[in-house]
Order: sequence, then structure tokens, then C-alpha cells
Amino acid sequence: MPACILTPHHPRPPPDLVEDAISEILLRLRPEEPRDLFRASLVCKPWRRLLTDAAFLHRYRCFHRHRIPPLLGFFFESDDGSGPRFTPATSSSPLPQPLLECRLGLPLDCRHGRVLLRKGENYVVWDPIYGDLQELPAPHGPFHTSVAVLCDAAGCDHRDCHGGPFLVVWVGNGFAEDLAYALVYSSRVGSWGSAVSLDVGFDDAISPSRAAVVGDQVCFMLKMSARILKYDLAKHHLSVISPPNLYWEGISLVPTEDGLIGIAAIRDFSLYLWPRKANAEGVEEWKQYRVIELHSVLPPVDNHFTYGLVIGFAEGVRVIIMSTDDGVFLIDLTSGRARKISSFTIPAVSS
Amino acid sequence: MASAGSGDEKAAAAAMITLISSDNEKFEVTEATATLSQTIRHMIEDGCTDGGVPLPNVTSKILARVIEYCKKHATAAAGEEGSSSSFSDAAFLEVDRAFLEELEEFDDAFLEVDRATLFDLILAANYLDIKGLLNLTCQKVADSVKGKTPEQIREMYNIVNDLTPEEEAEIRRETQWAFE
Repeated sequence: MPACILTPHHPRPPPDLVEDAISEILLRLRPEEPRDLFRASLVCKPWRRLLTDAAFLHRYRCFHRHRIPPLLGFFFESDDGSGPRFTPATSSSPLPQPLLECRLGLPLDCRHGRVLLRKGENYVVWDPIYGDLQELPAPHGPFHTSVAVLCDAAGCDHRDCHGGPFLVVWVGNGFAEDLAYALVYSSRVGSWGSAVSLDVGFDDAISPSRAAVVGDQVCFMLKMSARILKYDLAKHHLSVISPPNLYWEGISLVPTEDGLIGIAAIRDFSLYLWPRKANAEGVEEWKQYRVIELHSVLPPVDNHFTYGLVIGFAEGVRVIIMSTDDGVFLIDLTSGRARKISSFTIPAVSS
Repeated sequence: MASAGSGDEKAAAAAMITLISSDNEKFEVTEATATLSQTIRHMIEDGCTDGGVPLPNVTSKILARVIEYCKKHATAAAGEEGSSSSFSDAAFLEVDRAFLEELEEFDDAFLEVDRATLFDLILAANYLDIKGLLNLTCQKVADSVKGKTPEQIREMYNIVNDLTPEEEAEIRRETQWAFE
């Protein structure tokens, strides 16, 4: 069967392509805009057959394995009472808007192709691309909580782990109580494990801001002291890390590209990044390693903000979400480029 | 007086292969140029190139372009090998960069062809298994459909839509977001 049928009106029409050649072309569609793959799948049957074939899609992922997958967008809860919203970062987005009329719940965390939402007394783990939903009971009790969802498949690159096992790491501490607790839900087991606790001081509270996963460490922020509450998945153990002496507003967890715990904050129109590194004596300490001058990475036309705050970080794609008085910006740490994606200002993000 | 060794090198450098296009035109190319094609490399290894290599799927017009590509890339590869032993690291990097820039310019100019020729080159690169050429030409087509609608893609490459209206409507309904 000819790969594609030609009409005669072209002066010299391109010849039929054999399926091998079509697959070589489709393999090279760039992943930055997922829309292009869907559009190509509607060109003709041979194109559609390839683009819906599991073996081809596996080959496509391998071909682009050194590229960072696209950031589709982020969730945030607006303070205008309209509920959680999804802000796309690509031209077209496969995610429904508004986010399924908020039927699913409040987005709390998002990682490895899964979104964790709060729905009444339960958590919901949602695969927005395939639509799978899994409900699990949320732990009762403490006043201040934060929660992280992550893939639980060993050696996974998280490009195609939908439907696979996942973990939910929950941390919480009560109002004016010394102890913070950590619990882990495993989808393999189908229940929460035993709790582990740590004295963090009665005057501190777990921040609901987004967690960061660095290897076996799941990091959360403590609101009052800006310390990091670190849960070790392998050792089932909690510890705290003090921040560098900054006294800056809005410190966010931003791990480094080589897998170190890191933080980021904005001051005087510059984004500062600190990783936590072992020094010559083997003692871990904070080291400032990168400063990005925001006015120099933004297009001049978008350079009107006077105040900026890091409100989120997309781990897999290394993109910082920055809210300013002139809208929301995405800063790509790999390319060093920044772009404005919305003119709205966002009070809080659960990207 | 030339030593036996340099005589052998000369013989190797001069080893020529005859390629025969579908319209029976003969092209004499060096082995280094011909072996950019994995298909021809295997034929040479199997000793099947005496009397020329018939390429019934490739016209003389396209074969001439393919050879032009292979010559340039084979020369660049040989240039890099030669330079690595006779330049300091810094000079080598400089030469390396110059080679890459020149190759890039060559590739850009090489792709300035009509869509029919581009497809012919893809078919030839696929048949002859010339990885660099296949990558170059396929990437050009892939990039050209970026942001285009299915209708525009069909128009560009003269592809007839063989999906039924029902199938098309269903796909559009399922993935409406991609077509807005």
C-alpha cells in the first residue's frame, strides 16, 4: 500500500514515502509543542498509524531522551474564589480548562506526570494525560501540612510511567506543637505506612508550598524559620537543614541539575541559586553558585516589573515560576531564557 | 623513491567505486565517499562492487546530489582525522570549529531544494542508509510542519487525506485542544 497518495495538481509532486521514511520524519517532530504531534496524526492514515503505535512512541521517547520534555503549564489557586486553575505554557494544552470545573479538587503537588489533589477527606492522584484517577484517604490531624507525589518505579526516567506505582509523602505538624510527622502512602501496598517524627519547635509550621524531590530526599519548607524539613525515603527518617543567612523573603526549594538540594530567591532583580554542597572536610554547607540578572534575561518589552517572587519550580524541566507585579514569568534554568506567560499576578502556586 | 607503505596508502586513497543510477548513468566515487552509505559499505565488505553498484531506486539527478553531500562530509571527516595529529589542541579546536561551520553552511545550502527533491533525497538516504543525510532532510520536513494544521501539511506535501470524514471528526473531537 502506498504510504501516501498523491494528487496530480502539483508541478512535480513529492514522491510516495515508504513507511520507514515517514517514521524518520515523524520521529523528528520536536516535542516542545505536543500539539504538532496530534495535528500530524490527522494528516493521513499512515501518519496516524505510526503516531499511535506503541513501538514508534517508544522510539520517539528514546530519540528525544536528551531533550528536556516540555512544561505543559502549572496549577494555581486564585484568591478570587474561582478555584484552582491551570495556566498552560505551550500554545495549545491537552489539559482541560478550567480544570474540570474543579470537580477533582484542589491541586497540591504535581510530579512525574501525576497531579495530587485534595478532595474532601481524600487525596486524588490524577494522570491528566490519560485521565486515570486514584483516591486515597488523607491523614487526619495536624494543622500545617504539605504533601508530595512521586513515581515509585526503580530506575524510571518518568517519561512514560503513567499507571505505574507511586508514593505520596505527607508531612504535618500541629498548632503550637513541637513534633512534625511524616507518613508515606505506597500505591503498591495501598495504605499509609507508620509515622516518623522530629522536634521542629512549637513556634514553627510546615509551609504548604511545594516540596522538592532530590534522589531519596523529599524536602519541605518550614514557614517561620525558612528551614528545610527533609524526609529520607530510604531511611524513613526526618531531619532539618538551616537555610543560608539571608533573611530574604520567598525562599523556594530549587534542586540543582546534578541532584543537590538547593534553594532560590530573588533580590534586587536578580535570582540567586544556592546548592548545598559538601566542603573539603565533607561537611555540607550552602554555596551561592548562580546569579541570574532578571532584567537581562527578559525581553525588553517585558521588563516592567518592580517586584518578583519565586512561586514554584518544575523539577523535571528545570523551570522556575516567578510572580511579579507585571505578570507571571517562566525562567528556564537550562537555557537561561525567560518569558512572560500571563499578565495576571498570582498569589500562590501549587504547580 | 616511494616506499611500499606509501604506495599502498596511495592505492587505498585511489580506490574507486562505480555507482549506477536508475537511468543508467555511471558515477565514479572514492571508497571514502561511497562508504558514508552503510548499504554500499556492506556491499564493499561483501566484495559485491565489481562492475559497479546498481542503484535502481535512485535517479542520476538525485544520485548526483547525494554524492555531492557524501563528498563534502567524507572530506570533512578526513580533514578532521588528518588535523588531529598535526595541530596543537588549540589549533585543532580552531580547525574543528571552522570545519563544522563550513559543513553547516554547506548543509543549509544543500537543503535549498523543492519539496519533491527533498522527498527524493529522503528516499535515497533511507535506501542507501546515509544517517547524516537522512537526519538532515527529515529534520527539514519535520520542522516545516511545525505549527501547521493537517490541511496545510497535506497541501505542502500533496498528501491525500485517506481518513474517512467520520474518523476525522472523531479524532478532532477527542483532541480538540490540538486544533484550536
